[in-house]
Amino acid sequence: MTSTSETTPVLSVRDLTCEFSTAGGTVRAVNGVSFDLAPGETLGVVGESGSGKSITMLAILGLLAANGRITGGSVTLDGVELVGASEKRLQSVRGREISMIFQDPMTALNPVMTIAAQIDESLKRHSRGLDRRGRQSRIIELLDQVRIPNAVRRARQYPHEFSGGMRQRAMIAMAMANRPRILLADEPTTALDVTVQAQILDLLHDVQVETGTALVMITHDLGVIAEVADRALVMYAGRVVETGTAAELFAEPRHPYTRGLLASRPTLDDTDGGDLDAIPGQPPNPARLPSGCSFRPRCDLAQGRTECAEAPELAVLGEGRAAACHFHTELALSERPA
Amino acid sequence: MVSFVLRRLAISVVTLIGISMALFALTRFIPGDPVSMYFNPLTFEGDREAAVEAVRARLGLNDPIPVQYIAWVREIFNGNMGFSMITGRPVTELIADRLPATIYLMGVSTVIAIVLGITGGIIAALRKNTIVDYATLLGALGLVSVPSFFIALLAIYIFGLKLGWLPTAGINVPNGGWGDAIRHLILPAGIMGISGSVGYIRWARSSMLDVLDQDYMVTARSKGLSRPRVVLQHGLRNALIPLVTILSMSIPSLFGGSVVIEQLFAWPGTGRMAIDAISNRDYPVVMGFVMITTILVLVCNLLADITYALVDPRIRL
Repeated sequence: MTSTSETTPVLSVRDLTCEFSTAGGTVRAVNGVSFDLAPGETLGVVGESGSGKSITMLAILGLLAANGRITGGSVTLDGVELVGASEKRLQSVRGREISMIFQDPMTALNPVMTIAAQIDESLKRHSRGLDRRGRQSRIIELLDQVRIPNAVRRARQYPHEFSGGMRQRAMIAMAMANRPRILLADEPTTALDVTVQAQILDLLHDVQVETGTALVMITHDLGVIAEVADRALVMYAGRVVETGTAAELFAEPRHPYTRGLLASRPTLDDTDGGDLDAIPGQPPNPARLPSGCSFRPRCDLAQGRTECAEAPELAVLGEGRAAACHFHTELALSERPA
Repeated sequence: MVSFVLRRLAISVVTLIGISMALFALTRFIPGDPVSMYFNPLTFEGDREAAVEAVRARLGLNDPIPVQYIAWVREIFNGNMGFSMITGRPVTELIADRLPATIYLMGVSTVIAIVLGITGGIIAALRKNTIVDYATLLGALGLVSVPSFFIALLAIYIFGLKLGWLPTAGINVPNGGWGDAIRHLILPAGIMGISGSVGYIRWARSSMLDVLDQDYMVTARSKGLSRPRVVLQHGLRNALIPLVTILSMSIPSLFGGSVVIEQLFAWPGTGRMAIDAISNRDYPVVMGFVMITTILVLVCNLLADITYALVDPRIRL
C-alpha cells in the first residue's frame, strides 16, 4: 500500500527476535521480524502453525509465556519503545492502545464470570472517567455494536450460554471496549463453523470501519487475507519471507513458499480434477531449523543449489514489496505471461 | 435448586436411617455390656447374676435388637435420645454440653487448614520449580508422613513443657477472657489446621497450575489487568471449583482427627465423650454421637454441592 510511506506508522516492529528455553534447549521462535502498521490499515499475517505468527503478536504485548523472552529488536507504539518497558507501562497499553482477540473463543473467556463482568473489568481498568452506569451503558453499546441480540439480557449470561460465534463477538466487544488503536486478531475464525467465519470477518471489517482501528489479522487461510487485508506478511519458520499488498502476493508471489501456499488452495474451477498441490514435507521444528534457508528442504527451486546454504536476506523489491529468496527474480520471470 | 436440595435431603434421610440401623446393630454386637459395669464383680455382694439380669430386663436389653431399635427410633421422634447408662444424664444434654466445643475447634482448624492450604498451594504454583515450590512440597510431604498425634505430643513437649508458652489442656480457665481462650486454642487448632492443610496444598497447587495454563488467563492479561488481579480474580475463582469437592470429602476425616486431638489436649468436646462412651459400652451415648456426626457430615456435603453450584455457573442444580 503506497500510503504507508506518507503516514507515520502507529506500530513499528524492527528485527524482533524471541527465544524460548525448553528442555531441548533454546528455541528461536521469532527471528528478526520487521513490519510497520499504519493507522486504520489491515495487515494480514500468513503462515503455517509454528511459523511464529502468534508469538510475534504476544511479544508485542509482552505476553510471552514464562519460558519465553524477547532477545532482540524493538517494538514502538507511536515512537515509544515497548520492548523492555515496565510491566506497569505494558499494562496501560494492553486493552487500551492494543487489544487482542484469540483463536478459540471457547477457552479464551473466563467460564465463571458473566460477559458483562469481563467487559466491565477492562472498562474499569482503562476508562476511568466512566462511572458504574456509564460502563453499563457502554457494555450494552458494545454488544449492540458486535450485533449480539438482546444485549441487556445476554450481558448477564455466562460464556457457556453463548455459541462459539456469539462468544467470538463478545470477545471482539471486550477487545474494543476502550476503543484501541490497534487490534491484534489471532486466527479469530479458525475455531468457528464456516458459516460463522464469514460473519465474524464481516463484523471485524465493520467494527474497523466504524472505529478506525488498525487490524493485524493472523491467519493460515489465504482466503481471509484476500478478503480483508490491505497488505500481508508471509511468515515461515520465525521469519518474514515475503511482503506485499494482498493483490501483489496473489498475482505474483516472489517466494516459493507463498507460491506453494497459493497452489495448495482448493479452487472450484480446479481443472486437473486431481489432488491438491500441497507443499511437500512438514514445517520445520523451530528447535532444529535446517541450516541456510529454512525452506530449502521443501523448496522446488532449491534443488541442491549452493546459494541456499546461506539464509537469504529479505530483499526489497519495491514500495512495501520484499521477498527472502535468492531466486525471486526467477519467480518473477516464471509468473510473467509469455 | 430447590428441587435439588429437597432431593438431596430425601437421600440424606435414607442414608441416616441406614447408618443408624447398621450402627445400632454393631454396637450391640461388640462384646461387653454396660450393665456388667454397674456391678463390680470384686466388690459386689449377693447374687450378681440376678442383679445384672434384673437391670438388663429393666433397660430392655433382652429384647431382640430390631425391637430395641424401633423403641429407640420412637423415642428420637419425641426428642429423647435416651439416657447415659453410666451417668444417667440425658444424651441430648450431654451432646448439647460437648458439641459446641468440638464445632468451635473444628471450625477454627478448618479455616486455618483452608487458608494455609490454598495460600501455600497458590504460592507453590506461582513459583513452580523454584526453591519456594520445592520447600512447600517437601514440608507438606513431611507433615503428611507424621501422624498428627505425634506432632501434638511434640508440640506439647516443646511449647507446653520446655518453653511454657502455651497451655496444653482444656478450653479455658474460669474468667480467663478472650486472650486465654485463644491461648488454649492455638496448639490444638494449629496442629489440626496444619495437618489438614497438607492435602489442600497439593490440590491447590495442581489445580492452580492447571488454571494458569488456560487461555482465559492470557486474555485477562491482554486486558491490562494487574498480576494480582489476574491471579486472584481469574485464576483462584476457577482453581477453587475442584477444591470445593476435596474440602467436602475431607470433613469426615476432620471428625476422626478431632477425636485424637481432643483426647490429647483434654478438650471438652464430643470426641472424648465418644471414646469414654465406647469403652464403657454406653450404647445411647455412642448412638447419639454417631447420629450427630452423620448429620453434620451430610449437611456439610449438601453445603459443598450448593457451594459448587455457586462457584461454577456451568453447574445447574
